[in-house]
Amino acid sequence: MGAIDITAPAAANQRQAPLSMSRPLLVLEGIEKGFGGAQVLHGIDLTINDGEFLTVLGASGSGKTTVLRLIGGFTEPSAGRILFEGADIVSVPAYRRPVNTVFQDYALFPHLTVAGNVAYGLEARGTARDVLRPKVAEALERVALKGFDARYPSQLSGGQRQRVALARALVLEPRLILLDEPLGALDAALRRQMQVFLKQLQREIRTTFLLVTHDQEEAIVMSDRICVLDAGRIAQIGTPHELYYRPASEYIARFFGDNNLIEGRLGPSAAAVRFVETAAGRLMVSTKDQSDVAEAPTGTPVKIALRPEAIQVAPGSEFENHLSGTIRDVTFAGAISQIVIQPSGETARPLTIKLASRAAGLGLSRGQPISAGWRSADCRILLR
Amino acid sequence: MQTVKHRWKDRLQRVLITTLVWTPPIGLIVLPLAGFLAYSFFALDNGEIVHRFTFGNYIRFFSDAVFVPQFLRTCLLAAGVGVITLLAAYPVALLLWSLEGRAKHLMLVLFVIPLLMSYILKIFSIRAILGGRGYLNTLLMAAGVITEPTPFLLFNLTAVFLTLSIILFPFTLLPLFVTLERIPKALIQASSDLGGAGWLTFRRVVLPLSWPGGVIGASFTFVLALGDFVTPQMVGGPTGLTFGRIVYSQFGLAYNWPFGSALAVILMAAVLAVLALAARIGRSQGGPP
Ligand SMILES: Nc1ncnc2c1ncn2[C@@H]1O[C@H](COP(=O)(O)OP(=O)(O)O)[C@@H](O)[C@H]1O
Ligand SMILES: [Mg+2]
Repeated sequence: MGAIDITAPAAANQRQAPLSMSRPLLVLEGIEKGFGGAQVLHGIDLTINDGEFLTVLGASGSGKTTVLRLIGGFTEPSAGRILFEGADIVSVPAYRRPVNTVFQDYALFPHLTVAGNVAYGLEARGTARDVLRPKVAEALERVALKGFDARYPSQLSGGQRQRVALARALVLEPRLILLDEPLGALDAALRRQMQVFLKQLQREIRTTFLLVTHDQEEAIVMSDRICVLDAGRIAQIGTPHELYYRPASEYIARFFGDNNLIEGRLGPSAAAVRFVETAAGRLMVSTKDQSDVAEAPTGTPVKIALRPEAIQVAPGSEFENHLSGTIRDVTFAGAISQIVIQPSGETARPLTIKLASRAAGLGLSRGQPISAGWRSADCRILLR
Repeated sequence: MQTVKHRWKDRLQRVLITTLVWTPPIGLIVLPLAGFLAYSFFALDNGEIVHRFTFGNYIRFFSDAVFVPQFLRTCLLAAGVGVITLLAAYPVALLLWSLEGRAKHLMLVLFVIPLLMSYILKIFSIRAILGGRGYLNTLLMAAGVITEPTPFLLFNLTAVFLTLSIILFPFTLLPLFVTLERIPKALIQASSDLGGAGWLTFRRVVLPLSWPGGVIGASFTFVLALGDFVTPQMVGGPTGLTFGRIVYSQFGLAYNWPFGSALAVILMAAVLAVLALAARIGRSQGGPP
């Protein structure tokens, strides 16, 4: 068996118009969930729109699987409602819910062949054999497993099992597919390949995907929207772009990569900007669409989130923020190079800068003095 | 020089370990069995064992009008015990499986506790249930089903069947329960996620994944029932004759060790055949051969 081209379905759907994502398909309303004494989910309000790819992102133990189990019907909320197209489905048993799950460890039936696994749901519905067979074949072809019908799960690789689990859910044409860390067990290269494949598949079949992961990069690559879960509470919901560039809290800023967090106190405000007094001097930060920051009292302790790639070395005058310091470290990491600088203020914390690497080198070395700067629009004040 | 000496030491050590590992099973199991096998080819002359090779004992077994039918009847009885215990073990194992935490372990211990009791104690308990003034007769009389104690409950083949089924039940139950416990809960959820309600999940997932365990348990029970002679002796009466009792009587009463050995060898062959079959079924569980 040669390498399987799981990127094949890509071309077919490039032309399709973007899906409208306005209609709510599933709504979680004030969901609380506890196990015995431990409260696992706190007041979860989440709307999943028809046709979107929504990712629930959170650290291990934050309650992601519990959210999926509630929607799949394997456990009941302590309080709150789960509305599917407006109707409460809390009391509907799992086998009658219009959703299907791709389980964390795939949960393939070991005693059934690949075809038997994929046919299982159709057989449970009493689908006639002559309808069933082409459907199973189509689902297997969609996940690039044509010709694997007669194999048993124990004869497949991890990636292949993962795709059988996917086909087993797809074949039932559910309105919503729940995926619990579907790529967690795959190696890095295969995982990246599968991220693209899943995203394209979702567009192609125009089905709503609710995926759970602890990998922020995965969430950014695949999702239309991301819901970040922090210890059973929703920390922020938004597009990957919003979460990346407009984190609502320090937690989100930390989760989404390697923001520099500069401590300071709020200073005076001007038109659409606010000054912050820091150990590295007075910095200017845009307060565009952050009315709470614009109105917060002077002296409030805050943190500034500053993305490493927004910082320029030897900046021109169009950069409102400048500081000088010495280079502490230079690390070549392929496409980018990471530079750590120590600003000259006595108590200032080091800053990390990411620059595109060049073949001739960046001409920067440890101990060298350096000046850096960034635009007020490229950083953001965090009140919490 | 040194390496040669070293290698020699290594080899000696390996021989020693091999000897130690194989001595107990060979000395305690294989040799006595081989002894029986050898005896089964000897003859008895005026109460004296004649050490001369003969198929006589086997010819007697197959030609006599009593032994083969008796052997088959006992096989049937033991198979019946295996099947009945399997049918009874399924609902019990499923119940245990569905319980959680303490309740599960408590119930399991309750069902398995007879294994810890003395064999004789168990049999006398059952005689107290089935006997002329036992609970069952008292109950049937109180219910007005019978007017006087029925003798059909004790000292016949039915009594042997009932007693063996009750006593050997844990041997069927345990392997079945263990197999059920090994089924990942995610598979049950997956079935239900794909639209399988309770019965379908049982038929398509639980049953196929657990019956090899049930079959292994039932074959243990079959093997134990086939060779047993204590229970038939205690509750079987004159009509509750089984092959195990016949083998026993050849050694104990008739002092015909060669013929008894031949019968024991035949019994052993049947047991091995059943165990081999059960092992095959056990291996076939979950996926390709
Ligand atoms: N059945 C359960 N009984 C008790 N505690 C549970 C159960 N399921 C989950 N939990 C607890 O709920 C928390 C969230 O679990 P989970 O939803 O699996 O997290 P995640 O999928 O984000 O890693 C964990 O602290 C876990 O211990
Ligand atoms: Mg999980």
